[in-house]
Amino acid sequence: MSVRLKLLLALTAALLLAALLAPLLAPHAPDAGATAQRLLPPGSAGHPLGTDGQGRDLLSRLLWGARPSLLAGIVPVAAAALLGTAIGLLAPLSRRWVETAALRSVDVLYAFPGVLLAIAIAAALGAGLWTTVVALSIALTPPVVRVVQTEVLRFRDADFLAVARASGASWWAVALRQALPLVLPALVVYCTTLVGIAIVYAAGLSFLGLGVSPPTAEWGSMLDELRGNAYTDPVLALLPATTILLVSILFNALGDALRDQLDVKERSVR
Amino acid sequence: MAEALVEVRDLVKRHRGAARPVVDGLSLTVARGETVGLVGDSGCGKSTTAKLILRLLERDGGELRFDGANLGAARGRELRALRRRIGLVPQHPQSSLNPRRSAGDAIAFNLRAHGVPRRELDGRVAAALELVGLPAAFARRRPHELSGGQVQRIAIARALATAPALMICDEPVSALDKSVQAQVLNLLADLQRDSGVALLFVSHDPAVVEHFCDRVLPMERGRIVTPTTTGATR
Repeated sequence: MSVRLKLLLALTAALLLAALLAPLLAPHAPDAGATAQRLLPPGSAGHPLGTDGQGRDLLSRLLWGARPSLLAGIVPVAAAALLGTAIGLLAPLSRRWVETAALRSVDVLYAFPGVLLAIAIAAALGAGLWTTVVALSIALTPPVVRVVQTEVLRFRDADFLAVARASGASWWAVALRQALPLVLPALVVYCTTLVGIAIVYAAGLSFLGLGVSPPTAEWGSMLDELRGNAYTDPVLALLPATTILLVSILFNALGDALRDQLDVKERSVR
Repeated sequence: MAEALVEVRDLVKRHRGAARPVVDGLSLTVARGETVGLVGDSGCGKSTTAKLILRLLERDGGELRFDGANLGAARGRELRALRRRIGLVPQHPQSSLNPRRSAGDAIAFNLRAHGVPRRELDGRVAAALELVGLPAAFARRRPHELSGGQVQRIAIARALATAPALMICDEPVSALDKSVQAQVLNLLADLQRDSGVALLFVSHDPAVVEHFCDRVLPMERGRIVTPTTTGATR
């Protein structure tokens, strides 16, 4: 395992741990504010990252906000990975009409840009964390289907798959024990990168008021709350924005490192 | 002639958009324990015929019978049960084995399809490898750690591990060097003689087939032309 991958995995673990231990790590309650302490700059006594427009501690809010933000990034990707793999793996191995029907249905969703689709679904379902999760799960499924399907098509006509089918094994055994192991590396790499995108999407939904609603701390809604102070206190407004950016970059870099580790794309199958 | 194990009658297969059928009214039989060679130039439909017999491709016409059962009409469980009695050795060493799974996994997959319990798998895999002259340690090797000849030996071990009544070999040696070809062919001939498995051997090279087939069926444009008996004494 490369040093880069180890470092990125350690950073990711630290991030998840920080979110998990937010109640212990946060110096203040995320929604406790004092009007006398509004918009304190970073470095103030008792508020290392300053306070927001309602005097709430920003470090505590960022730590607590990591929970819904990461949840809305990871859970939809996990759901999309399951659903997308089911469709992308099973359709190309099925009868032609099943394949066509499944993949054309996915194409319909694919025709909409991901963000737009997520916004439309979230708007239809009403604001909330679980709305975000459901909307993103649906919006992220089509690209996963595409990745898995592309992998399957690379080896669908390979001899070993013909032998597996001819062995009298059940169709499920062929799909899960022969095809899935070949798809898994590319899937893991892609989904890791997708977490970074999902976090940005989730923050975007909250920013638009379609995700987590105030006063719950969430990176996207924090950005929305501090938007009004962007000209007077730009450093404060940049805090949640930078956090979203860095975490998104972290997951992208992790995906890249995993790609090198798992040797995806370089092995070709006849 | 002994009782027919495989009976193919008037087999037809058209590829979409092709002017003429790739398999055009082909009939053949393979008796129990018999070795039959199917020889023809590339594109004459011999590999397609092998796939049609295994129902890996669906035919457009004709009848398929295996050991008295209507293989052509079998579906689901019944089809899987019939397929379990047929072994397949494919053509390309590069794609004969799943690149992400070990050689032992490849053999174990077929054994599990035959309901062999998990605890017996290791022993059965080792026995299958021994049959083709490979040490049991090869079970852990991945395809990229094996030579072409070794991969095809493992493919033969995989096909024979489940003691099939028929083995279909689709150009199993055509991608190998001449010296390795001879080794694999001799191995195949020995195993056939010892196990009594019937063999349908597909090849473009008449010399390879005449080496050890009881009968050679020359194929042209999707059908058999003038069957001959080889001089091979068996």
